[in-house]
Amino acid sequence: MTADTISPSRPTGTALVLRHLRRDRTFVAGAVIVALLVALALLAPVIAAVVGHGPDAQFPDIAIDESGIPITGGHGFLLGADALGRDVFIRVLYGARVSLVIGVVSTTAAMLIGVAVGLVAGYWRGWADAVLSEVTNVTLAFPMLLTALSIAALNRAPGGSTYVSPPVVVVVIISLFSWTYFARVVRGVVIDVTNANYVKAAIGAGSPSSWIVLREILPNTAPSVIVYWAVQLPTNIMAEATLSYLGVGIRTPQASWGLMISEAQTSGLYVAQPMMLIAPCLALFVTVLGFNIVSTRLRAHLDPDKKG
Amino acid sequence: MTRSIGVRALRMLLTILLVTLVAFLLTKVAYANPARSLAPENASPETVAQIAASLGLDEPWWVQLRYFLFGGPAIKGVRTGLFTVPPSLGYSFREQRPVLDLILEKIPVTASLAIGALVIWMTISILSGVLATRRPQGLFDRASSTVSYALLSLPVFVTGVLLLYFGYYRLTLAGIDVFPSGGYVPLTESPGQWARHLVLPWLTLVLYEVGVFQRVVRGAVLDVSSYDFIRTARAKGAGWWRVSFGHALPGALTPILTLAGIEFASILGGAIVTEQIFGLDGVGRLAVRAALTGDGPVVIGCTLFAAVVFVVITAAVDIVIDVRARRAR
Repeated sequence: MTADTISPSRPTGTALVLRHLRRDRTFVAGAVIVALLVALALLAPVIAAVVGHGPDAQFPDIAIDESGIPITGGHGFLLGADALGRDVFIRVLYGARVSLVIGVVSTTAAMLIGVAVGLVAGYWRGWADAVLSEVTNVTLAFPMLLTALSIAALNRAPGGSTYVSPPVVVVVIISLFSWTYFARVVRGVVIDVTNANYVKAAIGAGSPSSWIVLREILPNTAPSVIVYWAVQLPTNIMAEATLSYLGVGIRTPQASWGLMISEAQTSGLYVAQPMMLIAPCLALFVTVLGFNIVSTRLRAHLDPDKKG
Repeated sequence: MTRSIGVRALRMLLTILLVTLVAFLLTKVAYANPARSLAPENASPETVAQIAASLGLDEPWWVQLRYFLFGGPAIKGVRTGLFTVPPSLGYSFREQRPVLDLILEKIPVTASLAIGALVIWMTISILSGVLATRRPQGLFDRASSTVSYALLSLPVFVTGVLLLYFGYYRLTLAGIDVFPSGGYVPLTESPGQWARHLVLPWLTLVLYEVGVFQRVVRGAVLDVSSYDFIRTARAKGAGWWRVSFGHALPGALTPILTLAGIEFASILGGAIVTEQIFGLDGVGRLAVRAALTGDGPVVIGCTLFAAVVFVVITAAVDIVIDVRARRAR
């Protein structure tokens, strides 16, 4: 009998959790929001092709009136146009792709760093633990936005271009500031599990450390790691929007909700065409809300310490 | 107790030293040639080199780090050296002033924003969080938890932009001139104007933080409400209000205080987004301007300020929690 078959969390555990989740109406509502969002993001090129407006295509002739004000609708512009005569609706859809990809990639990168740090710190303890906990302290004490501004300055090449693609920089910044959460959770689980009899048995049987850590301990961190991945994802989506809003994230002409909000505000044209401002705000809000609902309910069902 | 505080102080110092080192190196790399950006547009390379030499910028980075930490040649009469008495954070080439003076002068703005927001969000969160435990899953609990979810899902910059739009623009358009679009008036000059200028920025931070804290307060109070000391209090005939606010809340304070310390420290270290939106000239705005114009010494100074604020406040909260735990035993 291997450790896997006596581990209490699977496979019956997974089926049980899924059954509970299906009956949880709040969770289902959140999951529907998330599913719709993913579908819209995937379908963005199709919808753009049907409407006939590319995300960066400018239609100054039909979408901006004589006084230079973008139209609020009509001509196939569902939510009107922005200052350059681009379709706000199509850009909001493309913004979903940016939000989701950067959110998922940066959260996953943070998870990998955090799990590695947590495993090493929790299993080997001693000086490795001390060093890694100091690295965590330094990371927590560092102001994220200010550092992001410095890194963006670092990435500014002469002539207005950049050395590294801005989305990559955004992912690096966000993951560098969000792994600590995973490390702390994993370290805690590892310390608990290392005292369990089956791990002691594996140590006593002379299994190599790497085997014990990867095969006996790592699987036990999965429920917590999944929950915290889901908890961190909406936070990181907000971080991307904030960085892009401050001008150190995604750069124009690529569509990002944070950037769209910033463009609407600086041009001041949202006063005449409110959808320039309202649409990306609403999209960001609904997205983060959907993921917050899903993660909170997931946590209630999966995290043994958290009830309700 | 004294020993644990001593150990903690040493670790804090280590953390701050490491932050200084990383911030220093990052700034040196990010703003590669500050002399170049200081020189006139069409200055010759010789002129740039001259400026660099006169400011000690042509030394290798470890020498510059030594200057920064332990003092080096004075720049325009301003000493350097973080570990000298009194400490100095160097000289801002852009603003032509000592960095420490620049930061100290901005602290009242950021502190007004952070302290006011803290008081308001904690009051709202504690009241609504504790009230929600009166009947778990009852009407108030469900309504307040829905509102919390919504607030938690609004990034601070979105709230700020929307508040500016509705609270300033639409109201002014309607002839109701209650809130200014931004700016700051010192408390000592006019308390009324001070508050009037800060209402929208406070609200921006408060709305998000209530989303975070309301559920934390509710959860923490619910967790302790099944403990014996709560049942004892109830059995002795204490009313719901007395039990909740007099017994359960104090028993549930640890996670609430820890999180409050972290959030408050992050804001006090420079509320970059809020200060930027409402044109509040605080530490955060100083940092943004420095980062955008390549004013390295100010960026290091602001990073260090944020780190010190974070480390000191979280440690202070830890000590308060320790003392409470000891007293309870």
